[in-house]
This record gives sequence, C-alpha cells and structure tokens, in this order.
Amino acid sequence: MSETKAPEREPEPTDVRQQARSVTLRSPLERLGLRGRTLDVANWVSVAASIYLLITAVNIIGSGFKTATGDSADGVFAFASNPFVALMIGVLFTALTQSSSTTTSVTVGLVAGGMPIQIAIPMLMGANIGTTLTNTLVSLGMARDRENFRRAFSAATVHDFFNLLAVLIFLPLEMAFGLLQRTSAVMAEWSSGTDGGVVATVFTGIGTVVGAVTKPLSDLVKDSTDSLPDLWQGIVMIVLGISLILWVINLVGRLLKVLMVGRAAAVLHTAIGRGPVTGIGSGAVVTVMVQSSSTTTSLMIPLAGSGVFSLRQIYPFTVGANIGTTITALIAAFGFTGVEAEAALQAAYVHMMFNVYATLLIFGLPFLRVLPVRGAEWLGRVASVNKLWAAAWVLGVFVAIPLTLIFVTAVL
Amino acid sequence: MTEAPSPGLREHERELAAILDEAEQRIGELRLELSRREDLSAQHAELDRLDEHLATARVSWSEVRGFFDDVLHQLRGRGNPPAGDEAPGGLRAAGREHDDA
Repeated sequence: MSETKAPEREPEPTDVRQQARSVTLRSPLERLGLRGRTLDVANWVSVAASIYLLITAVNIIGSGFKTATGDSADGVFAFASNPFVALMIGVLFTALTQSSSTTTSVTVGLVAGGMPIQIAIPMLMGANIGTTLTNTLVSLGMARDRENFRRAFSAATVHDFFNLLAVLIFLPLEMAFGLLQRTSAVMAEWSSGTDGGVVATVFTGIGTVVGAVTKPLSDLVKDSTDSLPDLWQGIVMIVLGISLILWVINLVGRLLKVLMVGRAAAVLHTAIGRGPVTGIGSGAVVTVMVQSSSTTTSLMIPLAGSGVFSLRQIYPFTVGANIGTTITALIAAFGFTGVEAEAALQAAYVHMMFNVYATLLIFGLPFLRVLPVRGAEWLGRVASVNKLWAAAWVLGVFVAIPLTLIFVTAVL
Repeated sequence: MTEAPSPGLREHERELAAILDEAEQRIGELRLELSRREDLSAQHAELDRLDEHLATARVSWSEVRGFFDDVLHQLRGRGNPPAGDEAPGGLRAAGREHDDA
C-alpha cells in the first residue's frame, strides 16, 4: 500500500462488503471434523504434502514430455515458434485455468523435459496477462453501482494495463536481444551444478533431496502407464501432471488463506500510509504467503470498489503480486536434478526476472509509471457508463485476440 | 463623515488579518490531516476484516453471467440500462435472486 489517498469521498458500506461479512474463511479439512490445534497441524501438513505433490506433478510433466517427444521436443512446439503464438497460448491457458502458477509450473516441467526456452519465454509472459482476467471478472460483480464499478474495474484493469505494457516492452527486447534468456541462463548456471559456488551447492543440495523424495511417486506414475505406446504414455502423464497441479494449487491456496490471513493482515497494516515501494513489497510478500497473485489482486477489488483504497494505493500492491507469484515456479524447479534442473531453474528465473525488470523499468520511469493508471482510469470511466466497453475488454484481450492470433498463424 | 483610522489602528487590522489567514491555513491543514487519519482508520478497519475479504475474493460466475446477459440485452436493443441501476450481476441475476428468495 502506498501513501494515503487524497480524500475522494466518505467510504460507504456496499452490498459487497455486507456480503463479505457473512462469509468466513474455512479450511477444506474442517469437513473432516477437525478443529483447533489439530486442524492447524493438519493444515500445515497438507500444505507440505501439496508442495510435495506440486513438485512431483511438475516432474511427471517433464518426464511425460520427454517420453512423448523422444528427441524431437523442438518439433512438437514448432507451431509455437512464433513468439506471438506462444504468448497467446500462455494467455489462453492461464485465463482458462485462472492460475498463472499453474501455467508457470507446467512450463517449468516442459522446459525441463526439452521444450526450447525461446518458446517458454513468451508463454511465461502470457501467463502474466492471463492471470489478470481473474480480478477483472471479480470486478464485474460490482456492476450494479456505477461509481463502485468504475473504481473496481479501474483497480482490476490497472493490473491488465501494467502487464500488457510490460509485454509490449519486453517481448520485442527479448526477440531482438534475448535479454531474459541471457539473464536467466547466467542465473541458472550460477545456481545449479557443482562448480557454481555456495548458491549452486545449496540449490543442488535442495534439488537432490527433493528429487530423491519426489522420484518414487513420479516413477510410479511412469511405471503404471508403461503399457501404453510412448506418445500416449507421455500425453497421459502430462494430462495427469496438469490435473494434479490444478488441484494442488487450488487446495494449497485455500489452506494458505486460512493459515496466513493473520500474517497477511499484519503486513498490510504495516504497509498502509507508506510509499509505493512498501506497497510493492507488501503485495509480493502477501502473494508469497497465499501462493496466488489472483487471490491478492482479487482481494483488492471490493476494497477499491467501496472507495476505501484508492487506485494509486492498489497499483503498487498489484505490481508486487506479479513478483510474489514467481516463487511457485521456483519451488517447482526443485523437482529436477542435473541438466534438467538447470533448464527448469532457467524457466523459473525467466518469469521472476521478467516481473522484476518490468517493475524496475515501468515503476522507475515516471512517464511509464502513470500509463497503466491513466489507461485504467479511462477504461473504468467509459465502462461504468457503457458496460459494452467492459465486455469488449474482457472478451477481446483474453479470448478473441489470443484465439485470432493463434488461428491466423496456424492458417497462414 | 468618518475619521480615517490612525496608522496604529491600520497596523493592528493588518495584524488581525494576518492572524486570521494563518488560522484559516492551519484549519485547512488540520482538516486535511483529520481526513487523512479518517481514511487510514477506515483502511485499517477494512484490513481487520481481511479474512472475510479473502473468503469472497473469488469469481462469482453467476454475477459474471448476469453481467454478460445484460450486455447481450443491451446489444439486442431491448434497453440500454446504464451501469449502476441494476441488481448484482444485472437485471436477470436480480430476478433470479428474487426467485430464490
């Protein structure tokens, strides 16, 4: 949260806030009749188990991709060699799964399995755009009140505009100079293998332990599908891995909300009234706590819609959420060892550095910093007057443009 | 005919006017500070209910559907309801809620 907002209006209770009062966070484990301390312990054990399953699932995807493609991994993704198509695949997949963590984890697995990093980079960028759909959809629920909707839609789309601007700047830079590919390669080399110093030794050690723990389950899945032809075995493994990741990300998100709500509130209380850098930091920290940028950015929508928080306060928090969510791919990368580990780490670093660079550049340059805010304010204004604008934005950015680009590239 | 104020009186009036200006400026600053503190207080109060906000921080598909239903109505020319006059998720959603009730 950044500095306090300029006084706009008296905050007034809305139906959304009243509705919030009637809903409380519940752990899915409460259905088992667990309560109190036992429930807390069970929640934490479930989080640990979920992370184990997430890493195993990413490992299964990597292994499945290798099994399915053999030595022709490059050829399988030839259709996505056009960076715009790869970008749109990232947008669509994330919009469909409503989770950038799922897209980045799957991508990490695929890269470890042999998918070229040049294809993965635009996909990871696309994940950033696709994930903004969630809070935009949340804001549509506030359309009943024009003023609330204007503020809520602006707060949601400032994330869209920021991430679109980031891709607009960094995709051409990537195509021209391979900025992210080079940076991430250096970082991956530095943090993996046996001759990269202390960090590499620590990371390799973690990777070896995690790999040893996750390998039995991963091998079990592979062995149980061994009767299938290679291609189908690989496909089944990939589908199984993606399904597992989707389930785990959903479960861990629900558990962490319950476990981390107190700490997240403490972070946010501390951040109120401070500058934008603290806002970015708090957004990142809260997102790491709940392992979902969609959750943190959606959380801000009713708060912005009711006028309690201003768009300029929400903005840095949202940008911080972009950085915080990159931790999931990094965790997922620990499921591999050796050359695969270096590839997986490189993919995770791409996502991290893309968001770090975007934050430094766009937030660092005042003329760029204001663009997402202006765009969001304008869109919020016109959409509150005519809802067609909001519908066109949602369907255009997240559905029509990605599908058209993929279709046109496939046909031409 | 009124007598012109003496130079001492004029000086006194100027001092009073300056004091008034300063007081008004201070009042403005105090009001701004008060407003800032009220905003902060409201924000902290909202964060005290973070668990409720986290519980509702998710997509409500019925509201999304209601929103797009309204947009479709608007496109078909059955009316052009301005945002802000409908129930959650739009007119249809409102109808459904009434039905549910």
